[in-house]
Amino acid sequence: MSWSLPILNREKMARWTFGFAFFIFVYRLLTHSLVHQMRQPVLYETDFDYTYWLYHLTGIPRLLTGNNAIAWIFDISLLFVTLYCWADSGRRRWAVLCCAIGWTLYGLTYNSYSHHHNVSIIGVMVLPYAFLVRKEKKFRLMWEGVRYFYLYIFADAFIHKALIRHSLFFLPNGAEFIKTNQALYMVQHPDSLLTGLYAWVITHPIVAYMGFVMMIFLQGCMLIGFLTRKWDRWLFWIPILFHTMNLLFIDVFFYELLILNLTLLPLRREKEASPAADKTLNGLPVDIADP
Amino acid sequence: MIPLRSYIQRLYLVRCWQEYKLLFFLAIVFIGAVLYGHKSSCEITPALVLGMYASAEQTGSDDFLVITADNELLDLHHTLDEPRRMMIYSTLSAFYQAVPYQGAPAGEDPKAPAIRELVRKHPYMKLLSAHAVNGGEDYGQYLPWLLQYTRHSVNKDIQRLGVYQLHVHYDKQNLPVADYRKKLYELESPHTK
Repeated sequence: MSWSLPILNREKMARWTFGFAFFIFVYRLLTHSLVHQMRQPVLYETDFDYTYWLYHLTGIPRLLTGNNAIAWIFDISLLFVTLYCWADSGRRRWAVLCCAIGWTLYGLTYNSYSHHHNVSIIGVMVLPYAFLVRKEKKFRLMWEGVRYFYLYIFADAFIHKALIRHSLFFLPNGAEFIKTNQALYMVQHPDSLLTGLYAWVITHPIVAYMGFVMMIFLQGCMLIGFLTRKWDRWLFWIPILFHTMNLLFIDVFFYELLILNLTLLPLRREKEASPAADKTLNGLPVDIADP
Repeated sequence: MIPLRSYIQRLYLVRCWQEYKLLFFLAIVFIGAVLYGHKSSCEITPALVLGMYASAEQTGSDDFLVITADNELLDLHHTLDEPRRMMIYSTLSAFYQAVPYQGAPAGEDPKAPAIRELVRKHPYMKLLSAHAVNGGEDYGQYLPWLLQYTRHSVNKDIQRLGVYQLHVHYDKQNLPVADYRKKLYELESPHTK
């Protein structure tokens, strides 16, 4: 069985990035969470986050959400620039800049008016900025920086659980998180198969705890990425597994964050990109040098 | 064995310093924001502080807010529905925490006292925090918005929306058991006009 991952050059990375952003747009459309679908919301949450404080100080969120026509224009523009960047492989800097700012504004707006600062949208808020950089060498550094940012998301969650708040060592925790996140579903759907599964896991707290430890272990594994890029082909699968387990047991949807998984794919140097080149890691025509 | 000098030159920040100064400064600002966020618990997005699911405590009971649309449970249980569910239930929860159910027309953001204290200690934060919380009068417009948003998001001509508090306790096996349901608010369709 081959575990090779595709090797992409900058152009293909742009295609995949903006293609993924388009799917996020469609998902948000289907779940009624685009700006025009918010129906001019009135309450927002800035939390203790200075970025959100600054954002609301500018008055932009009220401008975007307060008028239905402006909200429509924003959403249509976001769709247009995302598709344009996809079709153009992110070559036009003005379009990339509009797309990046658009997704940043959307993420801040949605998180504010949904009263939940959702981490999963942060990927599409950050990644498009990488394509603003023209020179190959600088782009590679920027891409690498976003990769470290992605690793940080998992590493910091691991450090909180293992070293700062020590929840890793709290035996009831596996069952506790499933219980509190699924309680409403369980009492509203007492006969479903999933309720049976959750009840079994909750009543076997050792199994639930082992699952919890495994999840933290997966997060901790991402620390390896700070030391070497040679393991990226394995690290690539960790977020997919991690978010699937979260979706199944904890009732949270993090798949949008997988846009940052692109930073774990090997990036081909422009001068080496040729149709004849091997398209997998096996041939190694790719930068896999350690930082 | 890699010589120390060669190893240092391959470090990310060193390469940024040598080849891309702007990115070097951005990285330093990010690291500073992360450290500040961990020390003060005040985030600066995208320098996130990822402390979710890191608590170490057991709960014996929970209160959930549930919504009925024309006397039928509004069932958005699927995880894929998360964005829409957040717009409804997360905002409702925030509203309920801010406005105690006594028919109060206005409420106060629960974090307002903490922000006032922050500004008292650090007066330069006054401008930045000027719009950090909702105005008291905004709470009065929330429930009509909730009815309007719910009607459009589930694509149903809902005439009556009920908001209930469902109390759940966990039995000896740690399984949830619904105890009682208390009506909090009821809204009728004229609010959408």
